Amino acid sequence: MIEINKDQLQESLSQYFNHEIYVHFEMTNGAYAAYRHGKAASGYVRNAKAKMMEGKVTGESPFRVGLKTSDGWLYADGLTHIDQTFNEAILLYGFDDDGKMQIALQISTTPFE
Amino acid sequence: MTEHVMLIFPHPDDETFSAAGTVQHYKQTKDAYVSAVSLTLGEMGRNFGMPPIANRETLPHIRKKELEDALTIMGVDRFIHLGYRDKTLEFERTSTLATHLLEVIEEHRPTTVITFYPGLSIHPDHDATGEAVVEAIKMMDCSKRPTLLTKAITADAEQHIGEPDVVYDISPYLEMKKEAIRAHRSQALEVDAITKQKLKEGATDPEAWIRYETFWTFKQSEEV
Repeated sequence: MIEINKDQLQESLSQYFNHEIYVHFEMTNGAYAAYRHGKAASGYVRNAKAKMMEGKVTGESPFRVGLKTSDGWLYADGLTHIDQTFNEAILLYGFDDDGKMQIALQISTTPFE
Repeated sequence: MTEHVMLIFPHPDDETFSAAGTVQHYKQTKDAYVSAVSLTLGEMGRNFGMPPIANRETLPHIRKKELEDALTIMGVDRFIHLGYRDKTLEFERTSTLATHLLEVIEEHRPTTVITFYPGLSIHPDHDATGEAVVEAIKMMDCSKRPTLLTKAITADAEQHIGEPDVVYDISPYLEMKKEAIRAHRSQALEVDAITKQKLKEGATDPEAWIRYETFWTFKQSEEV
């Protein structure tokens, strides 16, 4: 996993334009949040299917990614890291100050396991 | 009859934090056979390591290997993975989980089962696991039921269910337990997080939560 390079990510995302994609989207402040510090707020969607039309990477780390789909939008803020070692998928993450993952946006042309 | 201790926990590392020393105690003093059942592989954990050594997709594979390493260090004889997905246990029908666990218990016939105390274990998967184990054992003929030791982890547990009746000071096995904890490499941040939490709750010894393994013997008459 490495820090996101904006230009490279834009290039990678553009290869998915006009393709059907599977999305894993997740935001979480942790299962213990309600117990340790206030309230839990988390959710995930796994293998949502969408047709990606176009999209952009914006901001300076942390980055925002907005993807226009045939029926709507995908939006994520707070992304700092990318892991491109996993098959052909794009795995994007943001971490909190303690190093815990707090946002994930993953897109792939095949369903996640 | 040979003593057989079966650990039933939802996520890799629950078994180590809860019962690594207890397992050694049973092995050393009762020559027990020990099995460990993990319902999930902790697929949805937020700890990827620092720096990250996992991602959302590789995490289950990494945590499975970490669990196998930790169980080897703990001297566990058999590992059984049930294939559920992290964070989903509370949404399964309790009867589905309980029936599955009953099959496992009846096949392997443990004399003692160790799991979480339902309702006092913070994480929804912990509570769902404890609840399903209690339901499973309820379905058994009284004479065939294993002893059920449950671990409660909320700070106010004693206000609800009194003091734990089983307390092991696992000091003789502390180094082994720490080694087993370290085997869960991707989860290293969790040790600091738990220690911080225990100190916040008033603990004076930062290692007490590792050194003392406490359990409440679950009576089937207890309402959950």
